[in-house]
Amino acid sequence: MTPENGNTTPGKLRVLNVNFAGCEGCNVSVLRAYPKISDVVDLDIAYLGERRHESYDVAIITGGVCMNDPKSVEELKEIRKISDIVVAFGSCATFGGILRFCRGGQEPRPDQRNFQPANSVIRVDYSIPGCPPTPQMLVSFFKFLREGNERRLKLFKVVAGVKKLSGFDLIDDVVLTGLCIGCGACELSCPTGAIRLIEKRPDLIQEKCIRCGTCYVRCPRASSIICMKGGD
Amino acid sequence: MMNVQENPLGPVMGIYLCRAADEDIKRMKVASGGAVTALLLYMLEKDLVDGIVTAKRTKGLEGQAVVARTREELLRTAGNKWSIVPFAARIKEKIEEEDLKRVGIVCLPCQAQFFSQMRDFPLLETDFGERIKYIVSLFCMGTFAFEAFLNYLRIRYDVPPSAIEDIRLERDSLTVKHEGGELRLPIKEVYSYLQAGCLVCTDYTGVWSDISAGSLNEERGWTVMITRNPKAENLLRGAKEEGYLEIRDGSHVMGSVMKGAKDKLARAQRNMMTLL
Amino acid sequence: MKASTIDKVCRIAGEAKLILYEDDGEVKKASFIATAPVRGFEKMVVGKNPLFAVEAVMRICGLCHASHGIAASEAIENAIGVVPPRNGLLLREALGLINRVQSHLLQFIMITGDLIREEERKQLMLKLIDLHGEISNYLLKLGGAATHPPNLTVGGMLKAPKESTMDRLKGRFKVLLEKWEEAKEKLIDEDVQTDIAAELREHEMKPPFLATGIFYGDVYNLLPDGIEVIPYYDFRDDEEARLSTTMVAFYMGKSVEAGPRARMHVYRRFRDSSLYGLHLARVEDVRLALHRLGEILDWIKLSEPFRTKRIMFGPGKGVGVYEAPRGTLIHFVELGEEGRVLSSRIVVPTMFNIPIMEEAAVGLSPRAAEAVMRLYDPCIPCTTHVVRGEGP
Ligand SMILES: Cc1cc2nc3c(=O)[nH]c(=O)nc-3n(C[C@H](O)[C@H](O)[C@H](O)COP(=O)(O)OP(=O)(O)OC[C@H]3O[C@@H](n4cnc5c(N)ncnc54)[C@H](O)[C@@H]3O)c2cc1C
Ligand code: SF4
Ligand code: SF4
Ligand code: SF4
Ligand code: SF4
Repeated sequence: MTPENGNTTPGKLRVLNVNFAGCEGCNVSVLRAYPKISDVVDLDIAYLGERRHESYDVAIITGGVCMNDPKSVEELKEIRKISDIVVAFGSCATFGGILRFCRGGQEPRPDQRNFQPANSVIRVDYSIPGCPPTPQMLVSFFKFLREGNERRLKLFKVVAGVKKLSGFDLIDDVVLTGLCIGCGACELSCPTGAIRLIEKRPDLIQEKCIRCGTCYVRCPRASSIICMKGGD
Repeated sequence: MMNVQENPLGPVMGIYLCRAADEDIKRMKVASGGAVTALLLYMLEKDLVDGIVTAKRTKGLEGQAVVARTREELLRTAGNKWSIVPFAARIKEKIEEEDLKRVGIVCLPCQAQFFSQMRDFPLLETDFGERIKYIVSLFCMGTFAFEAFLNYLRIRYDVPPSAIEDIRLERDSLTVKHEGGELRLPIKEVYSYLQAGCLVCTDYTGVWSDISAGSLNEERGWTVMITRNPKAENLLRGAKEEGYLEIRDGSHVMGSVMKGAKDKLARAQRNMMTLL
Repeated sequence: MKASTIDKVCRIAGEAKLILYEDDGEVKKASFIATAPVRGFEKMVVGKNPLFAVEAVMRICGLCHASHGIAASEAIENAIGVVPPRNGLLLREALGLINRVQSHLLQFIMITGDLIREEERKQLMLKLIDLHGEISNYLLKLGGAATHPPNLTVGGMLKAPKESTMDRLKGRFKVLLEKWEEAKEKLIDEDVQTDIAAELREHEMKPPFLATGIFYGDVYNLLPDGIEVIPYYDFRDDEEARLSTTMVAFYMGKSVEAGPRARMHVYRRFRDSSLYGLHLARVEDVRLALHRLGEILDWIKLSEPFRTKRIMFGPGKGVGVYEAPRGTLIHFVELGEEGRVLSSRIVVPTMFNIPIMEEAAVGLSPRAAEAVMRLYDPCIPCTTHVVRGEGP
């Protein structure tokens, strides 16, 4: 799917960023990327002003969706309808991240208790975890997307079909199965320092894991297995 | 460029047989042609990078990740380490502390995948992807679960770890040099001492690297090198022109390399069915 | 009183509705109703290890992450009777100041749409984004990340910066200051400003102020019992308010303003009481923060410890007060027998500011009223829908 084939003015992609119940960290990342992608991307982001188009080539979803807020759920569905490509950007939008811990009960809206990543509600084309992912990440994404480099984007395409990934899954799928090779990539990738390599095997400091999934997509073993399973 | 899905060698621009021109290097305990060391030396001495992240032998045959910034430091790292060397947090700190803006990395295919992912897709602010200039991957059939392997040598052949001097890989056998002589073990025999994770690994050459390097029985004393992009081509050419590398065409060994890659892929698929 | 519809408005950190009741082009009453879903961080941390609580609350907000981390750490330390070593406190203060600058820069990016004439806007915005990157690098190097800095923790800092890193940051400080000076000049240059800016200069507003310190915040300058928090729907009885997702807070029975202007009034001789003064105070807040940051970098002694050793979590109650970018931020925490979180309560500055914002809108043109919402920089994690309703 090359976005250039869509209804775009040649050259620039029409891109929309919408934040749901995220912390704003991810959309700040999008904003910070803007000067670096502005020659190829025409960005609508709430920080800079109103939405200007009826439809978009790429929608970047940040934050997770509150399932108890029908308005949010409807809005997300609407975005799917008007966008060719939907990208979940950041751990809340991809795997739930910190929002996985929400359980409701808090004033003034104790009814809002279930938050889900975007792919629980709509089909997502690419999922890019990180809490938050760096601005540079978005720059790279658009580079490969425009080049049509599917090989490079495959991992993000495959995990777009996954709703939950975290340090716990890494331990279960790679370490406890004995498939860990002790390379240290996970330790280097955890934003909270929840993973430490002890005697060449990662150990999870559970109380620090915010379930962002970064370690999982960065683990060479986990990512190649998940790509092979999800591979076409 | 060929697609990885169809081609287990990944993208290939050129395939060459190389060896170090430098006598110092040839005299050392290099793995095959010493070409990797020579190429790294070229990067360092011609100021293409500020440092090389590589592995130094520590106790026994294991390694530790180090950053080499001079010829001497680099020469001390030549040769293979048969365990995986975790490029953990320490390396990151090192790169930051010394503020290395451009580094070359030598690693195994799985690590090449990680580093190139970091370079292309910096998910974290603390990533140092923009500092990684060249990724050189060694071919890899697997790394040992080291304690287990050494223990096996001790029990089965009465070779204590302290007596082992070197381990070399040939086509289907592993040669263990020790104080009392030499031990040739068929690869099949040692497979079970590879890490389980390696048995499901599909990447033989390091498809995500810029340059891959391996060795072949039929071309002893030479290192096979695969370039994967124009940047890597230029690097090899430069190393040749500056007198660091001897280079010959390697098209005739393509088949052998391909066989190695296919074998590993088949092994992974087989094992995946039983392990996963 | 007429009812008409104007466009949806963005450029505020949060999802909220603004209802303006107006007569003859003048706002008579305003209701600011946050609608972003409640994620419930106070409930989320119950039963958890305090270290999780610190990681979690930083994710309340991607703009003032470090501020939440600091206030939460302070509260937990207060509960278990631990004080971080001098270095830990200094570095923590530095992280907070960097975070203050980061957050204010984003507010400047959003407010340029109101205050700065169109032809100058884009340029200034790009400058501000660049500067944001520059200052974020300090948080990355000192705190471990540019957002949600993981080195911040109970008892001080998890990691000490390396000497070479410190030297490089100090070396680069001049560049940072120069970039700031350049941006600052444009931010307060009245020659490039809009009519809205002019209107804001003419309106006075001098509410009671709440501030507990100029840089860090001090629990002894606050009477925690004097804080009263109620759901917005109990505060305003608009039909729309029923769906509101925010709470509002009062101090000593009154609505109070928190934030840069409060800090400047209480701790500096800043006397501009026009609404535009909010903007000037924020500019000054950034200037002072950068100045102080420069000093702290020199005071930190790398050879001394950054974290208190032997931290044991056990039962206790604690309060942590910190001057976040938007004003006084208060975390209350109670730890149970096993040292896990028994309860948590967080009062954020926007809770104090909402009633004040609504008050400030009265008497203004609708456009300026909207701008005032942004001037107070309310933080409700993005789109404000301004709905004009019928008058009371
Ligand atoms: C575990 C392992 C398995 C291998 N399996 C195969 C195989 O199946 N088929 C094949 O053709 N080739 C294989 N090789 C590669 C081959 O043995 C040689 O390393 C390669 O041909 C390069 O030879 P050289 O003389 O040019 O390298 P040298 O000039 O000796 O330089 C090698 C460089 O690689 C670094 N290095 C060595 N080991 C490691 C390590 N574990 N991690 C990171 N850096 C390291 C060294 O520090 C040195 O800088 C394997 C290598 C290793 C380490
Ligand atoms: S992923 Fe992290 S930075 Fe992004 S919205 Fe969620 S908590 Fe914030
Ligand atoms: S271990 Fe770290 S990287 Fe992995 S999911 Fe948890 S917080 Fe994220
Ligand atoms: S990244 Fe994966 S393989 Fe590497 S150490 Fe971590 S869990 Fe093991
Ligand atoms: S076999 Fe694969 S996983 Fe094992 S060390 Fe080699 S490249 Fe890494």
